[in-house]
Amino acid sequence: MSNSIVATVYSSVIKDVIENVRKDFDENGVDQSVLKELEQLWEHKIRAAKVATWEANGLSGEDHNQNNQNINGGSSNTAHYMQTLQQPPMQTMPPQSDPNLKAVASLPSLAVNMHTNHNNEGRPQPYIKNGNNQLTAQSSPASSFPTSSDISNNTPINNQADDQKIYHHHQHQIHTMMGQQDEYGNPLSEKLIPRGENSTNSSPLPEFTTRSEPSFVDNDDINSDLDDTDDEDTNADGEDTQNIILCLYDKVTRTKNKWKCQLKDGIMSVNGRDYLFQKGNGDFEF
Amino acid sequence: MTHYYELYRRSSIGQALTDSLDELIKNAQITPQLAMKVLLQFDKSIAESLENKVKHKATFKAGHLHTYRFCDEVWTFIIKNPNFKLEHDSLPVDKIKIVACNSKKPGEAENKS
Repeated sequence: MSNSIVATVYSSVIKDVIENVRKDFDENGVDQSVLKELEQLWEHKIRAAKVATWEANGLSGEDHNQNNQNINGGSSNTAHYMQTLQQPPMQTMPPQSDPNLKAVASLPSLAVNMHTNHNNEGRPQPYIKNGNNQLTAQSSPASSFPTSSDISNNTPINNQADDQKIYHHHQHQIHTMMGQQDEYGNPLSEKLIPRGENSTNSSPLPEFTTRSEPSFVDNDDINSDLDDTDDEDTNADGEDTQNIILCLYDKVTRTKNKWKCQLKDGIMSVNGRDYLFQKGNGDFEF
Repeated sequence: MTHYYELYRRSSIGQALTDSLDELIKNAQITPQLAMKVLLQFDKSIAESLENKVKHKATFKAGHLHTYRFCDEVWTFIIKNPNFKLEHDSLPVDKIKIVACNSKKPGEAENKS
């Protein structure tokens, strides 16, 4: 309804500005075709923003542009210029992006396949065990925390030694993964899989899982806290910028927590559409 | 020379203009000084158009004023769940920010000139 006036007001503003800066362009020795290009760019952008219904006015505006292009010889050059400006990015982007995407996509997938094929289940374990060794080394001297005492009680030295052996094997495996997969891969996989099956019944694996989980949970907590605060900040800013009224105020009064505003000459951007008002009254409570 | 607020450059049509001017400056078709003149003309044109061509009235009632701020003669309000009406059409909005400059300042300048 009132949105329909937006297109007419905007197009009149565009024409008004273009007409009034014409002499400035002349004084600066800038060709009129550039001014024409500015008008077309501006109109194109505001239409692409879809903040108003341009249908009725849009046709007339396009007719005007086409007529002007036909009348003025220089503007056809600008039209060509605009096309050449706009088209190359459109054409060059997909061929550039496709090989990059394929290359980027293919490399990690190959790497993942390599890891999964050669290491099987043993691949993620070195990192967990490595972390456990660090945990026990750090927490055992402190011994004030209940978790550290549990860890120190439940982890025999033999397990750590075994873990280190396995870890070294894994390192060998990782280093020689590319070339000598048959020599190192097969014996290691035979060692690793029974060890994992046995350890499910004995203490090590549950400990690994219980110890690895809190570490991940801690990480998640830290990240989630940070994400939450970031989200709150961005949401507050984003919502502020999404729906905005730019206007002038005649009077702003307050009695206790009741506020009254007399606003005028406003441009509102609400839910992706623009609205204009001459006068606006606001009553709200703080 | 009357002064007009640069406030409306933040609107969609102002953004479209500044983006267009940026493109022309990047292509070395116009100078930044000329672009500033265009923007000053835009400040004048948009203010006059809003004053003379727009007759609509808007009301917002029963909204919760979440934040208010008054700095350098500029009021900023953030209102949650306003009952927002433009003429007789209501617009559902969960949160809206109002940035308002003093209407007296350019009015006085216009009267003097």
